[in-house]
Amino acid sequence: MVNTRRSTRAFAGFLALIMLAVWLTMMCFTTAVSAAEGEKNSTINGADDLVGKTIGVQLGTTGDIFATDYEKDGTARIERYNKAADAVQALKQKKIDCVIIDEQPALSFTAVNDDIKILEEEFAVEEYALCVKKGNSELLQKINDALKKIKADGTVDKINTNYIGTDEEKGTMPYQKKDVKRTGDLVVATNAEFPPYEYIENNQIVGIDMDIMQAICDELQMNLVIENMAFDSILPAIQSGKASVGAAGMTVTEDRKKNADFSDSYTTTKQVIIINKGTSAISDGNKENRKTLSFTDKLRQNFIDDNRWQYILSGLGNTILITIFAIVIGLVIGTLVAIVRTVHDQNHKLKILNFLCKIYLAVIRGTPAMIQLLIIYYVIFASVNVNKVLVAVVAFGLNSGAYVAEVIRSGINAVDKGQFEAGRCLGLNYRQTMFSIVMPQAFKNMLPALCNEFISLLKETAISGYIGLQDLTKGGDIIRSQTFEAFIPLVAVALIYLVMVLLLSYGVSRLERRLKQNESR
Amino acid sequence: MKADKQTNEILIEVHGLKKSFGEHEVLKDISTTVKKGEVIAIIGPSGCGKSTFLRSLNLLEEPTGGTIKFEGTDITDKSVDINKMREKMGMVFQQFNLFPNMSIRQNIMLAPVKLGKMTKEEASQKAEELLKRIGLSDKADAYPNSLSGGQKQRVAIVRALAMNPDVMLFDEPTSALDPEMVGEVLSLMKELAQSGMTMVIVTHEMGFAREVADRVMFFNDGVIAEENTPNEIFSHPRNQRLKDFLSKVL
Ligand SMILES: Nc1ncnc2c1ncn2[C@@H]1O[C@H](COP(=O)(O)OP(=O)(O)OP(=O)(O)O)[C@@H](O)[C@H]1O
Ligand SMILES: [Mg+2]
Repeated sequence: MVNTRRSTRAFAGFLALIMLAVWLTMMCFTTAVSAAEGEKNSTINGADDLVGKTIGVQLGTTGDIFATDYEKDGTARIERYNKAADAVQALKQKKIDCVIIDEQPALSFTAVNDDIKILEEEFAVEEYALCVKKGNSELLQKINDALKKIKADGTVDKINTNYIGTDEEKGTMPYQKKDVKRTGDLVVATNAEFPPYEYIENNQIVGIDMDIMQAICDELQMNLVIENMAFDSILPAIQSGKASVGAAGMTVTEDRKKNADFSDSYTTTKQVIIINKGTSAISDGNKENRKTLSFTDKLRQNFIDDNRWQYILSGLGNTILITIFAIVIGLVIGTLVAIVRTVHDQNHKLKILNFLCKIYLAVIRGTPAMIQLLIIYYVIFASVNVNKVLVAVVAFGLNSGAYVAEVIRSGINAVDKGQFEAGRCLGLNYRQTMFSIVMPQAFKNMLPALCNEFISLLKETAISGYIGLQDLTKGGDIIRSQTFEAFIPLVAVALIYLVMVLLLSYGVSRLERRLKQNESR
Repeated sequence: MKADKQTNEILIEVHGLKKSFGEHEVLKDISTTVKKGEVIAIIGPSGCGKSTFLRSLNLLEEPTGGTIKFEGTDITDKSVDINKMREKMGMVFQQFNLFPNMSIRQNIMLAPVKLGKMTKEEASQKAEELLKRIGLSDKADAYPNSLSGGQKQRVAIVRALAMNPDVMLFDEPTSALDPEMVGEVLSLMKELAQSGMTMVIVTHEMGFAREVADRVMFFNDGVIAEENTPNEIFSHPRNQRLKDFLSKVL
């Protein structure tokens, strides 16, 4: 008992030491980087100056489409980000020269970041529309009728004013959901990373598009169901029937028209260029106005303000949930596959099952986990509206099963053949011998390798964000996109993963020691 | 100890037994019988097929030809439940093969309890009786790794006895032991032989074979080259290979 307590204390000390080390390294790193940040003397005053520059865009947006033209000409380099906020962050860190983005989100970003600004020259003017599955003219007609009605009665104007009107008007006329009898769900796909059209606030997806969709649903007398996903997943989701309507500040383009049908436009917007203030020829004297936040201020801003810690907490919950259930599924699948493979190797039975298992192992271990996750979400569960945590559990469980299977198999192979023979000679059948003699010993052999597999599984779940699932990583990302602060949310998330991994390894090493002790008494 | 306890009841009947590993024919047409209460020693040069023969008797190696009848049942017949047969045939290995993750008591109790032969209480009591018989009562709750080689092998023998087998098969039970531990194992086996147990023993201990066995089989190159009473085998060997073998080992 004393021994246990001492080792627990030693472990806590070790943990603290690691955190300190990580912390110091990160600190040194960030100061080194900011010291080395050279002034790029590139100046962008308009679209003509984009030649030879690095342009940041959000993947699949209109900005991306425009920027791609430059890329094709070979006149500019493009960095594509999953979120507009990431592009803005990269701009602030001078990793890129400018960001091409829709005007309204650009205004939101510049409002909270006083070191970037919008160029006066607008880049392009365009119209937003809603999209439905190609050929679904019935739904399209209903949406257009509803749009016409809410435009005519001033609802659309009110919604716009509420979000992007003058400072006095803003927030004064929120759309009130109507009290109507509703039948059926209207599933709307969006990408809530695009303020003010769609973004997350207090754990809810809000914004102009969402209010407009609510208004349309009120007209159609349906329930609004919002599905958050990556922007470039919206059209595939509409095509596969995962969602009926796409509402994501989407500009109508020729390419998009090939994949979906678009409604009448509900708003007009511009594409603009955002740059760092320092890189513009037009100087700006407001420097002293820019306050540098102290570290505690930053902590408060990232975690306390707006209850942002909740993103981390709910994300952590999902990460743990996914990991635990995926481990269980992985163990079940892994054990079954390992048994089939072992029975086949020993008795030359189960030929067909063994063949199937081999295919499973080859496919799972031969493709990236992220692709597997996307395939399971967009292809296998394409037409059903399933819980994303369930999808992730299935995907990671299937993935882990393949690795666990091989760990278990080699664990079984490592048990001395004499153990199996001794069991059989006592009259135990194959199954009894495997389960009561071979497996317990194999389990001990494979504990370290299993632990490693669980640790990689835990970390692997960080890709859950790709199906719009809010896990720990994504939770940190949401904070990052709201505070434009990379360091604190990322380090916090990293530390949480680290602590979980250390706890897991510690638990396994204790179990291992206990099993070892047993044998030498 | 000989002759008096031996009966004429045939326990194992081997007919035309063949075994090949791929191209390599290890057992070539072996026929013999083992009577109830008989103690048989198998001797022969290394690689001549002694272990393979012994392991064929309980189908640990599947014969490629011939039949093996145990208590009247042809156990090479696929429809026979071999597990039921093995309950009656204890086996002791050169490497002991105790289960390292179980206590000595659990090692002994496992099969009788799992196979529904005894309740846990009965099996535990049986384990204690057996351990008392070999003077290891104080080790009941120890784990195999804390035992000496001789102790391990004696536990392995009583583990097999816990199933109340009709025959015990030994494959060089003392070959992995330090010389000073050979005696304790052999004397347990001798005691077992005296109690009337049918035993088939592959061994390099010629003195033991001569003293304890009722019959000695000399294996050479996959066949039983000579089979006789210990006295005839050791004092009047006929087969030239047996003469050569004995001149090397005696
Ligand atoms: N599983 C196997 N696969 C292939 N060959 C085998 C196998 N088991 C045994 N053999 C071969 O069969 C022959 C007889 O082996 P066996 O173990 O029966 O000999 P043995 O008489 O017991 O020898 P030793 O005194 O060395 O134990 C040897 O040539 C051995 O290499
Ligand atoms: Mg041998």
